Amino acid sequence: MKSLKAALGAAALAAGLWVSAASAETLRVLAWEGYADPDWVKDFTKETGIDVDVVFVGSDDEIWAKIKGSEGKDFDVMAVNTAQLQRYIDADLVKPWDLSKIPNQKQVLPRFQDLSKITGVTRDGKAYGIPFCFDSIGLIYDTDKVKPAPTSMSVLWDPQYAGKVLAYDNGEHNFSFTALTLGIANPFQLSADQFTAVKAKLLELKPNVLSFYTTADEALQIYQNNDVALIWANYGQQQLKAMQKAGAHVAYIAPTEGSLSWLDNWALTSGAKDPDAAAKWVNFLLDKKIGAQLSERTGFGNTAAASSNANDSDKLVWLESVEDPLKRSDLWNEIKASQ
Amino acid sequence: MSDSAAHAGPHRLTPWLATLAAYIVPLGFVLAPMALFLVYSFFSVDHGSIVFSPTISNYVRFFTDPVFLPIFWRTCLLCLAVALLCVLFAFPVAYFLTTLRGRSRYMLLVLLLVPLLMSYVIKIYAVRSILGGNGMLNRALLATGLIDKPSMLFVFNLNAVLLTLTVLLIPFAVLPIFLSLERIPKALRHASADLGATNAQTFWRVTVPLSLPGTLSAMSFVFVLAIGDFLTPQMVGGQSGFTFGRIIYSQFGTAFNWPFGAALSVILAAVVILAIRLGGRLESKHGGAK
Amino acid sequence: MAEAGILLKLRSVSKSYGATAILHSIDLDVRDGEFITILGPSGSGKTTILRLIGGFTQPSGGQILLDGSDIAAMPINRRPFNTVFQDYALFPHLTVEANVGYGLAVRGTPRAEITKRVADALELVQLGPLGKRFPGQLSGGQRQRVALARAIICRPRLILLDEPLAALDVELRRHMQTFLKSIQTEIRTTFLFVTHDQEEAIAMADRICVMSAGRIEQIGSPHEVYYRPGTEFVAKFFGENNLVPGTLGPVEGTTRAIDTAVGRLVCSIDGQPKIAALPAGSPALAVFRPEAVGIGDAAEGENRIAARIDQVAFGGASTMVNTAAVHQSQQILKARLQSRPDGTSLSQGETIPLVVPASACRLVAA
Repeated sequence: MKSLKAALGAAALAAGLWVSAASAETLRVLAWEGYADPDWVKDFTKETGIDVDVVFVGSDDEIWAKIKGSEGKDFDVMAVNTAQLQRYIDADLVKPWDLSKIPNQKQVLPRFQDLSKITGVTRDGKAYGIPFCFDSIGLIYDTDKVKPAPTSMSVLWDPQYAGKVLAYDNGEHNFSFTALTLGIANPFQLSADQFTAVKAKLLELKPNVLSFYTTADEALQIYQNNDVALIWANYGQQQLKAMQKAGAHVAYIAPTEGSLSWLDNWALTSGAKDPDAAAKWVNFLLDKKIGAQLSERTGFGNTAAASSNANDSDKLVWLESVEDPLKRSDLWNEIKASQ
Repeated sequence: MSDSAAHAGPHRLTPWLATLAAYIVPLGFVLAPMALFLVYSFFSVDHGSIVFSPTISNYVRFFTDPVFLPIFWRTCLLCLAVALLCVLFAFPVAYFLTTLRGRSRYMLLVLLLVPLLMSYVIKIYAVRSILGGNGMLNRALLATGLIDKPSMLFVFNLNAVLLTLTVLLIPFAVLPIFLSLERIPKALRHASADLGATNAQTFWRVTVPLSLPGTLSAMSFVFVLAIGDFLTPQMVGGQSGFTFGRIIYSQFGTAFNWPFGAALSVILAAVVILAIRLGGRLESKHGGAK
Repeated sequence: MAEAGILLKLRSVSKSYGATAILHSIDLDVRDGEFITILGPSGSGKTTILRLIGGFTQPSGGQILLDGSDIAAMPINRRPFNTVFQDYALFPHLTVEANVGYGLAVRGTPRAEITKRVADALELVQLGPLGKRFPGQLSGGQRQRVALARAIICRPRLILLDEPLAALDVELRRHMQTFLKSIQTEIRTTFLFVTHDQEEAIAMADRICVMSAGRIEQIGSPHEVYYRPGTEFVAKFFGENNLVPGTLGPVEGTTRAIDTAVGRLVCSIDGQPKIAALPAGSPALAVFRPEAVGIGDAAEGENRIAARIDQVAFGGASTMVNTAAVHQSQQILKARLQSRPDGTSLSQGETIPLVVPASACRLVAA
């Protein structure tokens, strides 16, 4: 009996200690796998004395569910992409960063220094997202079959590649990249006329398409069993590397008209307990060494150090939320349904 | 309250609970979701969120929009062709099975059903690599000199969807046909021979008509499975193998237009129920004379 | 070689499955136009004989000769026989007309002729108006007639009937027996009828072939197998009988004596050379029917047995009496005696003189 009481007392004490420790200095991070590796977390805690709790997510919807579900109170800082961030700002689930607390942001690669030039991360002059990780959605081509190296997505329409193109099965992206190919300045907000033009252009693409794929594995398998020359690379550099590893003679280009690119940012939740700690976390990660490690480990581009993902001259068009996802999806179905 | 009544309580409760359970499963897991689909099909979507006020606009759209009906009919036709092909291929297999005796019969039957345990996606992958431009089929045809460059006739088009669905669904057709063939009393075949019929005459006049119930249920079975499939057309259909299942999938997967997806699903469910009823009716008509 | 009046000959036909012998060396002649019944308990091999003739199974040995030539290699559909199967085996998906016309249709008979002959056949089996029905809509007796019509329409030389009445109730079975017999008489086709029911066999057959354990026990007219059994099995198989064991005495012309527990009995051995040839002292059984037993003084050529009444069962016209024979034994004898119209009855314990004519008393080897 006595020992039980003692055990219970000890447990209660331990629990109390744990709770107090957690509430005192624990940063709650919601991130994608690869954005908060254990060695970085360990170094961060050693440097700042702040403990970190990381929860990994698997989809944009999951992030939304977790943040919206607690009205931002369950996490202090989260990773979110440019196309999604505005939705959080609208819902008051995030608050702006105090950039003075993130000095490393001044040292990042040129294209990421001026946040106002990156659509989607600011509003009313305030920075809501600190760019961290990105990749382009470019073009993978078979180096044996496509000579010389293409420079634009317009090569997808080249009749000599009829039946040799792998396209991605997604209406939103297909409308956006085709709009870019057609020289439309804002591929995310299409007018009615622009919609008509893009749809017509996509219909012209169909005869060249062998199949529409959904996963990188699938694309690789189709490539291996068929005569494929060009792949619209939804999975970017990762997809390229996987194909090269499988022995494919392929290379990657970011088209000159601009390549759609996703960009993940760190955002501060409206329920953040300690914004300063969150800023320290972001500042810590915007380190050239960590950036290089990130690129090396994941194959994604980082904002702190130069990587193979993008030259400074590459034109990257950060993804934004589109004017009418439903309309794009319906039109895409129409395109696929047409005989 | 008397003791006996108190004791009787749980005993009377047991069958009641069993009945409840028997109803809960179909009600809770089949009818309720279907009812939910039906309800959702009368809602609409505005700027990404569902508007919960009843409208028949989804159904109007299906019947008036020039996109959906042609795809719908094309898909029905495709699945009918799949059902026919499956039965055509499955019949000889099932017939062969009935000629085997004892262990070898069931060994072969199990062997035929083994593919059903495999992942559907992996099977599609396998079929696709066989049919592909550099696939087994093309390499074999090239090697025999029948063609001089890889044929893309059987991959990434409607033919490919037809072939793949047929290959994947044949096991589902074998079983009902086998069972109906097995049910035909040997005495009937003896009687036929006894009356002077040759083996071929017995086959066409007795075996085939009497296997019709199984053949028809195999057909409706395959048709239903084929029409609900959205993976196969995606994976082997290429740019021309678009089916009704793909449209439904896109409503849920990418368009987030659940009400319209629900309406399309209800229409599909209606076709499925019709197919099953039709198969069942013909079956009872032919089997009922027994 | 073809033999006049003989349609089919089975010569030393045997059948075995692995080590299990079903039939042992069967010899059987089927005569043209006769109604022959193969009778035996289940497992006696009677259905196997039918299946061998029909071609549904192949003999392990021996020959089946049709018009003198072996039909072992002849496929089922070439044999000029048709079968009425045990469960009729009607085609459930075809109408009565189509079932009956099946044999003609598969031979490519012109449609008009089929229609006519089907109508005739249905008329013959009294099913005229039911032609458009399906077998599932018919009663057992009606199905039976369809099966018969289907078998006779092709004018086969032999119709094989495999226990066709087994599934019917008693009343209907009696009716169908008469019906079958009359049809057979009318169309003059040879019928080979398999049954396990002795009454049925006796009622219908011209000849009965009694089988047991894969062997033929006796072939003969119903009267012969009933009153002049050739074996103990046959003697026991048809209804109630008296079997009295004893040892054989001397042969005297067409009779032979047997010494039994109830005394010496003189039995007819007319047409039984095998029994006549047995040495004296061989064990044998005296067999006589209860109805052959009378009461009174024995005349010349009659056996007299003094017996005490054990049990009396009044059965209308006749009274069945179980008696225990007095002498040295308790041999039970059965007698079917005429009932006395005055109402007086035989009483238990009474000793009466039983009389059995030698002509009604037969011998079988024990």
